[in-house]
Amino acid sequence: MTRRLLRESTPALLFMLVVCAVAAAAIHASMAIPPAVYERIGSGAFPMALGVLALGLVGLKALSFLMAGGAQEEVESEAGPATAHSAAKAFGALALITAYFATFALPAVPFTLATSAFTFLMFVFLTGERRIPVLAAALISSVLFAFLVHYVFTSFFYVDI
Amino acid sequence: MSEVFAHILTGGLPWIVLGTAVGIFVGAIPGLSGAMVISLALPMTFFMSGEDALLLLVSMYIGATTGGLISATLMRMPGTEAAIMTTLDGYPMAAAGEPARALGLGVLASFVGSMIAWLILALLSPPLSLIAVRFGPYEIFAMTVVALSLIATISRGSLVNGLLAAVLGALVSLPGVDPITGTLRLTFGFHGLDNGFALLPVLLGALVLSQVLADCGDAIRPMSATRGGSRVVMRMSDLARYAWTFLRSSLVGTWIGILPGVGGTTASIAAYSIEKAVSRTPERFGKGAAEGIIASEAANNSGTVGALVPLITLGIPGSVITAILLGAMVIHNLNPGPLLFAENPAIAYTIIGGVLVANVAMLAIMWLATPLLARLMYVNKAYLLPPIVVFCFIGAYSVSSRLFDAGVMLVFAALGYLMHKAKIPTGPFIIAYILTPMAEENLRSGLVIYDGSYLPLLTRPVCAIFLAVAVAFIVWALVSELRSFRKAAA
Repeated sequence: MTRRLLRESTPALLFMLVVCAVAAAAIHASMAIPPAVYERIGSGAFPMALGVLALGLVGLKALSFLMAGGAQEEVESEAGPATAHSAAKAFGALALITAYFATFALPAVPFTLATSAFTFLMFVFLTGERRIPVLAAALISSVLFAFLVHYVFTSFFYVDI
Repeated sequence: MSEVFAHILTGGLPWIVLGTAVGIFVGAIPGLSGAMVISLALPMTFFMSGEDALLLLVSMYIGATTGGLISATLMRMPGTEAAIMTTLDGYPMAAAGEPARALGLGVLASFVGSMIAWLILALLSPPLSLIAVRFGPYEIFAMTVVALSLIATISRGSLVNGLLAAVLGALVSLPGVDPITGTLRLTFGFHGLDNGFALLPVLLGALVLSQVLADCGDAIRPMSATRGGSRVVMRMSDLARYAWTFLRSSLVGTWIGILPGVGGTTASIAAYSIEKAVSRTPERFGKGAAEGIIASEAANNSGTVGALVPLITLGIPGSVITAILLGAMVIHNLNPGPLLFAENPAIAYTIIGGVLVANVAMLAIMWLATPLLARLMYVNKAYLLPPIVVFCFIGAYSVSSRLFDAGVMLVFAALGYLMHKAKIPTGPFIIAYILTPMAEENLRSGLVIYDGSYLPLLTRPVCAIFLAVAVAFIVWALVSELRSFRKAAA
């Protein structure tokens, strides 16, 4: 398998790693569960069986992957700098969303402030907009949206945000 | 009976229209459930007559189920859990420039599904309820196995990928309180996991936020690139063209709805999977197939109405919402239970009539609103994605007012994005995540009841039939996979 093929198959390989990790954790944890006393199979049976099945499927997938000389389907469409740019943009958005969620761990930051800032920054991040009038309009819309959402959810649906 | 209908069409009509409209609005927003709005509305019904209160609450129930279709179709964001399967074909059809058609098909399917279930509710309630309550844990387990086996059929063409996604979904459904012993398992010392991963954060993360991330990675443009799609909301010819899909899915949905504790989500999963399994062109599913939208919406709406059958005839609530409706009947001194038809026929017929009128109101409201809603697809994504993230956060947080759930949603968003990039289908992941706890609980309950014996799974006729169907589905999927593999090799 060439280095290029490996790079382009990274999502599939990463996914297989995630499945392996979750399956290994399930098997490990189920082995620590005491055997059932009053029933036939007990708490550990399902996690153990599914963990083993997951590892078997990963093995099967890896085998087909090697036999095919790399993930052909991934290679067909996911290539080039456009993909790297797309992934970078997605990770940027994920970082922004994570920061937004993290602000709620700080009691001093009210929902309306965090939401106004997030919607405005996300808009700028997505559009790359620089024109002052557009940015001003976006900021005003973000603030209005945040207050409206806060009012509706706290006053009508009693969600404690 | 005629007096009841006269009251519904005069004094009760405003409550029905109000309830349906509020239900649709709430159903369209993830995190706001039908159960939530009905609970909030319950105290407001104290000053109303029992009949009007039930009309309002039942209409909210009907509206909330349909409302989930709107965000599922336009934003790939299931407003209600039961609309999960609608996202699979509704969103691709809408994104391909046919938002009005996708919504129209969903609304039509919701209406037809509800009407078929209503006919069954009105005509066959007592005998069906008596059959349904005889279903034991092994029967429900076998039925769940059928639904799980359908994963194999919906993963045709990439069976290993589908099964991998399904096993991962099953594994992440297991942490938390063991359903039989009540002890904690797979929590790894994190107290946040004591109740497992809540359904809504997982759904919002894997389906919605992952799509947001994928969209952020794309060049920002209006959600639908083509404006020239059909503006026709509903076509009467669709009724004839997809008649069998409407009928099959509605009957599946009604039957699953009648079974206590199973619910509309399972109904839509089963109906969608069956429709894909019987289709001559299954490869269209997941890419905007009309049958996919119809199957999901007909089933979840008929399941909603089906759940009223045991409520009215036996006083048994099959879901959270029907339990709240039962509570409303108790609060208004309406004595729910097997004697409701004998002692208080006006109430039983009010619910039945209310369902009918609420469905018509739902159709009218959605018919009028669909062209306006469809325009959302032409709005630039940069305006829509930030509010979607905010609604996702509120939806996840509102489950139990914990930031942990928002964190869970983020993790599943990253996982969903990875699956998107790796071309692993998310459908099997979600299906297995929802059905596995039900399968485990019922299998283990059955084992406790039958002294650890698996034999009743083969000797009880309903179980045996369900398991035979499951085996047939799996063999069919394997043979199809083998054939397509040989074709590709040749």
